[in-house]
Amino acid sequence: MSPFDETESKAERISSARRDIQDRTLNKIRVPLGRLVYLASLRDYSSGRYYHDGLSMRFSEQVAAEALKQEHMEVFRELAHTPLQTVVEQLERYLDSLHEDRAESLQTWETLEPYRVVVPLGAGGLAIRLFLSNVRIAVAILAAQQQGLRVPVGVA
Amino acid sequence: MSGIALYLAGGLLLAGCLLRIILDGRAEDEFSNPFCRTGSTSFSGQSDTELSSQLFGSEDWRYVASVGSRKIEREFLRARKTLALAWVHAAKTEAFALMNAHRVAARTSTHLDLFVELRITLAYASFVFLCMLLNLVIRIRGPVELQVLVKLADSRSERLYEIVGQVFPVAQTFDEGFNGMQAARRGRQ
Repeated sequence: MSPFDETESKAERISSARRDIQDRTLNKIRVPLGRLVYLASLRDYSSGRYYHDGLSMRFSEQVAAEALKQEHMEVFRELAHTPLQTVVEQLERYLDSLHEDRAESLQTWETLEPYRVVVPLGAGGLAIRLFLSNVRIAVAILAAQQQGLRVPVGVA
Repeated sequence: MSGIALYLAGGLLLAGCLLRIILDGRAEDEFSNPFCRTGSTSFSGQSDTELSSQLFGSEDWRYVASVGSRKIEREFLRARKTLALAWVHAAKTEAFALMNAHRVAARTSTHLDLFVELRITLAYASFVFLCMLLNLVIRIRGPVELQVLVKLADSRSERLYEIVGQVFPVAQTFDEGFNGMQAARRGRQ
């Protein structure tokens, strides 16, 4: 097998692993923000490496890690350039899907800013800043809505 | 006499503004704006186009304005202003690096054409001027609905790349790593 074949074969395996994780898990998470949170949760905080037992068993640890990394980046790219109104709608749907107290969740998101850890390694600096800024504003808008302010979520 | 004083005051004010922009740019570069350094603003072409239209467009602002909260509006404008300034700064830094690469290549070249060099200098100067103008306008009225000015600066950046690319292959090599307005141009192709 030539080095080229080997590279192609690895790329194919990563591609298959990506399709696998999409079919089995990601497509079942309806909100893209939820997909981002899920993918970030598969990453080790210290090493930045991705782990998924099922995917590693079907492919290999290395291929699974690379597939998850690429998938994470893809989902982030999509979200980083999403209009603010859509981010607000997604955040609302994501918080609803948690079945927790909305006010409490919003307060946690405002103070702890957990969305900071969902950013993939290697993403562009300005894209990261735009994403974080959009989520921060989205949290503020939903918090204002919670307090009874008229907010046109889902209108446009 | 009072007319001269008025012109002098205007000139001083303009010089003060320019000085502030330059100093602020340096301060942002070194301290408050770590993401705007070269290499940290990597976007593929399409995403950079999306990013610039989001930053300088009005869709998000119209939505925030419809919310009806002054506090959220202020927070939004403050954040977008910082991001837009970082974006302009990154584009300017990349063009500056291109000019540096061109200068290095020009020093060793035996086929220097003064007319072409003059065109490059003028293209660079007009691009830098537009960046400074963008910087000033963003500071004064924010980044919302500035797409026309951004496109103008983008076309100047495109022109600069075309001219440098015609003279030295270094521009093509450098183009691979360029991320600012040039990347936005690539994204539209």
